[in-house]
Amino acid sequence: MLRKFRIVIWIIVALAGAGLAFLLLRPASSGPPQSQQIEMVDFGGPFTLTGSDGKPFSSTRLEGKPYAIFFGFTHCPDVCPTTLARMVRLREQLGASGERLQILFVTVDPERDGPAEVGKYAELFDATVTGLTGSLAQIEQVKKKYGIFSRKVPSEGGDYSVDHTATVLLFDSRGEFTGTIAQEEGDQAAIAKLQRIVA
Amino acid sequence: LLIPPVLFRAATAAAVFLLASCSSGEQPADIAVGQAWTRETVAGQTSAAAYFSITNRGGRSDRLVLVSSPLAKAASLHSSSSEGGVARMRPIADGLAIPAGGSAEFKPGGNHVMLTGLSQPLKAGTSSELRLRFERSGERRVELRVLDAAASGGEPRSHSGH
Repeated sequence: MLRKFRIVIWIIVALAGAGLAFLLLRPASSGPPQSQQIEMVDFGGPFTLTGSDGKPFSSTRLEGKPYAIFFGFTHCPDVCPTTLARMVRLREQLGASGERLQILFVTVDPERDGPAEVGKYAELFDATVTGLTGSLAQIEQVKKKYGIFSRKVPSEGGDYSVDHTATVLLFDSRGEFTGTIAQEEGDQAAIAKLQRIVA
Repeated sequence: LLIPPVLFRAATAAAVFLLASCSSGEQPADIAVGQAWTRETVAGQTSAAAYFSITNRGGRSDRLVLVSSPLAKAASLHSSSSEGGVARMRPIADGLAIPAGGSAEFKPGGNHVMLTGLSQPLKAGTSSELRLRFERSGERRVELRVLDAAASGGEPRSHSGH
């Protein structure tokens, strides 16, 4: 009887101790990391895709170069060409320092956009816009790394369009994510962000 | 001050006539469409977007209901929008109203005409035609110029031939 009582007491003590430990440790372990997660959303990282020549394109080719990466698809008639045209125009406005800036166009529609399609599309804007595609799995992986959302939307005639993140992501020459350029953002703010990575 | 009765009657009649002519019947819609432009395309691209502006100086609203161009099998009104950085493109159902005394801007990243089933790649420096049908004002035909792909809405860059 006494033994049973002692066991119950010990169980209560153990539970109280665990509860106290949880209460004491919780702020320390979940407080700061939460805010850190919000501040340190880290996009990017190494990838291998396919270039317009049909050969693998490794992100190691970007080492030491600042770059802007944009995801879209070649059947996109409005937002994609508008964004790429804008990036090319902004790069020109940077002057000589802008020449270092790489502009990458990655398709979110690899089923329709093969190497030839992304290559020709990229050439429309500038010889130095790099068009990239890959297998479905490769594209999914890169989308995930860069925080890109995309979803097919059926349109008339059995065709489809693709809803997709149209924000341009910026990386400095060390490959560090430095910020984004949104569609609705003014040129002045965009130029300032670009100047920081090409400097 | 005495106003001769004849003059008074004449003035009253004139006032009534003026008031009546002001309120009688609305003025018709008066639709004008500015020059339209689109971007060059490469083989493989099946669609392109066309941009222009419409003004209605008239006293009645009108509605753009149908668009066509010899460049494409079909043309339809679309709208691009962005929510949380995600770009979406959707057809505009039932045409687009142009209010009396108002205007509509078809521009990159917003409303546009989507040309689908391009018969051949569009070449910068060439031009074609865009036909717009309005509910009340009938058809308007405007020149549709193909600009360099690097052209953007606000600041279209010079294109080949200039």
